[in-house]
Amino acid sequence: MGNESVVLWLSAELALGYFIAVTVGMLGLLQGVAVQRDDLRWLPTAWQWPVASLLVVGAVVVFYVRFYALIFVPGPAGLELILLFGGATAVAVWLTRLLAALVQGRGR
Amino acid sequence: MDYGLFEAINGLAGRWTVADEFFRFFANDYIVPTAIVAMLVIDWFRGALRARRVVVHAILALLVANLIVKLSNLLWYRLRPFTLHDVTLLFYYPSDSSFPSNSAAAMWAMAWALWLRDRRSPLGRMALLLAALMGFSRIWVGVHYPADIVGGALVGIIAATLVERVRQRLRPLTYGLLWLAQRLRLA
Repeated sequence: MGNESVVLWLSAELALGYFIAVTVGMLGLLQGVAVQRDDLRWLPTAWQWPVASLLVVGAVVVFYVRFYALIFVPGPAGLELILLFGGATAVAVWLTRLLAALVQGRGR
Repeated sequence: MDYGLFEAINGLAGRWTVADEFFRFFANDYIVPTAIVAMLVIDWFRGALRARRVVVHAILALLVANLIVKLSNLLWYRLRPFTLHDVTLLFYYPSDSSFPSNSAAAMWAMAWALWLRDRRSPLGRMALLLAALMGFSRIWVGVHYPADIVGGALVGIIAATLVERVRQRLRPLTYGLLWLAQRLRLA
């Protein structure tokens, strides 16, 4: 495997890690927002803040520690990051809506 | 003066591991950009229609800022500090032009758009603080001169202000994007 292939593979690993971290972090962030928006809530009220905080902080810490070495070499940037962030956020929003519909539907 | 200021800030790098790690955390391409965009996401879901319009404006401001940076780079390519001087480099070697800072332009465009919506909002103030911290961190880690960061911040502020000024003309685009987001169940 040549140097370029190694760089591409490492970038793909970092991109996937970033995508997963943003998805998890956004799931937490949306539960934080769900305190004011009931249609996004899939956790019991008492659990919302602790679980939301844990997901957000956990996603940041795990991503930063796991990919520390790759973060400080050239990798995805600019438009690639915007697309990764947008895609991960969309997945988190759809997952949140699905979970909220399941949980709230069962509660009725 | 620009290099003197750079030397004063970057000269402190490499002395205290805690400080170096602190600024590396805020200087990288992932943490602060993600945090500022996450603030836009909070505003998008927490606020009413006006808040969502501002999020669209922030994204447009980011695109305008990027365009200004690209045009500026066509006119003038400034070498990075580490190519001309002996610096303490705590980052990788970026190959694009040093002036204006692309990251500062992008962060300030989004943060300024958020702040313009509500100047008393903690979200807008926090976004501005993060944008400033990222700029300073980039000098600390040795990849930008102070003038690059100030230039980038000005580009971002101009882009956000420009979008805010022409927001009435942007209504069809803004509402088109909002309609699309609703259709995709993202609002």
